[in-house]
Amino acid sequence: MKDWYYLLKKLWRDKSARIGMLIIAVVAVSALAAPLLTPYEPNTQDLSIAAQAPSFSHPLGTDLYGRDLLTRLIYGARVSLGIGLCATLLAVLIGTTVGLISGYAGGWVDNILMRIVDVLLGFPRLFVILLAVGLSTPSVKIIILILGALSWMEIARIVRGEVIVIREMLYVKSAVALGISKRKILLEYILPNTTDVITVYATLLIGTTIIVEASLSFLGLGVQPPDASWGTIINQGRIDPINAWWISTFAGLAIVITVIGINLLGDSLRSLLNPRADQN
Amino acid sequence: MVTGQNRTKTLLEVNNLSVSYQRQNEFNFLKPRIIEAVRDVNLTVRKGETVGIVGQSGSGKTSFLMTILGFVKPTAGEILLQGETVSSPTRQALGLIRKHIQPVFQDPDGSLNPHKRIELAIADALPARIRRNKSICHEQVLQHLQLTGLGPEHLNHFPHQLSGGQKQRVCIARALAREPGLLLLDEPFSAQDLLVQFLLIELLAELKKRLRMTYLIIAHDLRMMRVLADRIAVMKNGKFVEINTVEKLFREPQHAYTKELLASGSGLKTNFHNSADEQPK
Ligand SMILES: Nc1ncnc2c1ncn2[C@@H]1O[C@H](COP(=O)(O)OP(=O)(O)OP(=O)(O)O)[C@@H](O)[C@H]1O
Ligand SMILES: [Mg+2]
Repeated sequence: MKDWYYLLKKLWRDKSARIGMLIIAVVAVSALAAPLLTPYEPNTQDLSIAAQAPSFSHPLGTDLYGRDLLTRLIYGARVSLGIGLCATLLAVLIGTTVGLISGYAGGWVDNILMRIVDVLLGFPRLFVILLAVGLSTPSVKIIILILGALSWMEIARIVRGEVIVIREMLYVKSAVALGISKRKILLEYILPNTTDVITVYATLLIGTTIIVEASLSFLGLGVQPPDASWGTIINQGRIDPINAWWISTFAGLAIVITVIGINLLGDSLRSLLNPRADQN
Repeated sequence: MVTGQNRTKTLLEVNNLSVSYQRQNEFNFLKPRIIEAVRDVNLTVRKGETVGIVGQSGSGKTSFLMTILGFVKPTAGEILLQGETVSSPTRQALGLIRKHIQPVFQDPDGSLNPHKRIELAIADALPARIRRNKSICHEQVLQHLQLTGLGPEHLNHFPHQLSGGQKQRVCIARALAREPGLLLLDEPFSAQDLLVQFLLIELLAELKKRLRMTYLIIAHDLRMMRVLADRIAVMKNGKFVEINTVEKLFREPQHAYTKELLASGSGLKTNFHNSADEQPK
């Protein structure tokens, strides 16, 4: 607990981390509190006010079906952030497990797992994702599964590398000498010492995943209407980008600003959590 | 030859042990450089005995210790623990080593899991049946910690909140909590002030008397060895150039290198130097 408190305090002192955290906080809070923030329904159409430019009652305008764009973006944040978070969580779960086992077991287990990783990394990722999504009936759950299941390989490699270094540390040797079980050594002596790298990589992965999800939805392969993610909103703006410019513009801005915020935080975490320097 | 009766008294027997490391050769990658860290070493440690190993930096002391622990594979020779071969890393051999031997490593900063509080670090050395009962476990952890002169205020600390000397003492407490028959100490007091050194020396002597503990202590400090050890092995370039009882070694050193060590008074110098590391509280 204290660890987190100190980390937050340190992050707050770092300017770019502070900006990143503020952006993420604004987006996350508005996503969570969506119904409280807007009087409009995200999916109720009113064609009489379709495609209206930004105005006092609709600060970011309305979309082609007369839905308040700001409302759509706020609700879209739920989907985009939700998918980004859940898919990343899944990738971290798989990647960490594979990396831990691979690095600690060594030998043929390590060999097989790492060859699988090599093969999976050998395919162009977007192509595989498109294929997998195309072959299934897209839903939020399926997208999370596919994105998560295809993004864990780098984490597995990173964690494996860490484990190989940590395995040789004297505190692990001490644990081995004490006769502590392999499972406990892995979970209590090795895993906690890899969390720093995992945190950094996972943070950055959330940003990447949000972009990939937006690309899928933009291509019509992701979240299906009437539900909105930022990608589907950009997609709708494609129909009349000149006259209804606000639709794609604001949805695009939402993505860019959010991903920048996440990357700012991720990069600061990287320099703060330099795993070789954390002992002091 | 060792008689049957003697054999039971022998705890550790090292025969013709050699250890070498392979290192990348900068000039010819096909021919790795071989570093012979330990060469043809023989040593017998009897139960209840304290054997010291002295020698300059790089002479192979830590390598010898790591091999006894089963962390480094010997290139030749054998190690017997209570008469059983433990130099090939079978499950059984490693089990025997873990049951009877505990190390305190040279580098206290690296020897504690940075993410584990001191209380839990020491608790991990206690048997499962004690760990299951929270209050008994807490009490025992505290007891072991206090043996080494640390107090309850350190229980909740993470390793980085302790000084090097304090970490070293936590490691000693942790090793003792496992109640090993043989304790391997690699420069155990190097970061301690004189006061704590005396406390620890007394502690080891007390445990030796009460539990018939056996110690193998590495130090380059001959003076401390005089207090602690029954016998001393002098190591140079991977070889034991002389093994003798303390009195004999100090009275009539056989090997030129031993004479050199004695003459240099390394003990005094080291003690003085180290006591500056941590001021007595
Ligand atoms: N893991 C290793 N890989 C390669 N070479 C090693 C390794 N460990 C030690 N050596 C080499 O083996 C030799 C003996 O080292 P060792 O650590 O056993 O010496 P030491 O007597 O413990 O020295 P010190 O008093 O400085 O701790 C040295 O030349 C060292 O460079
Ligand atoms: Mg050493």
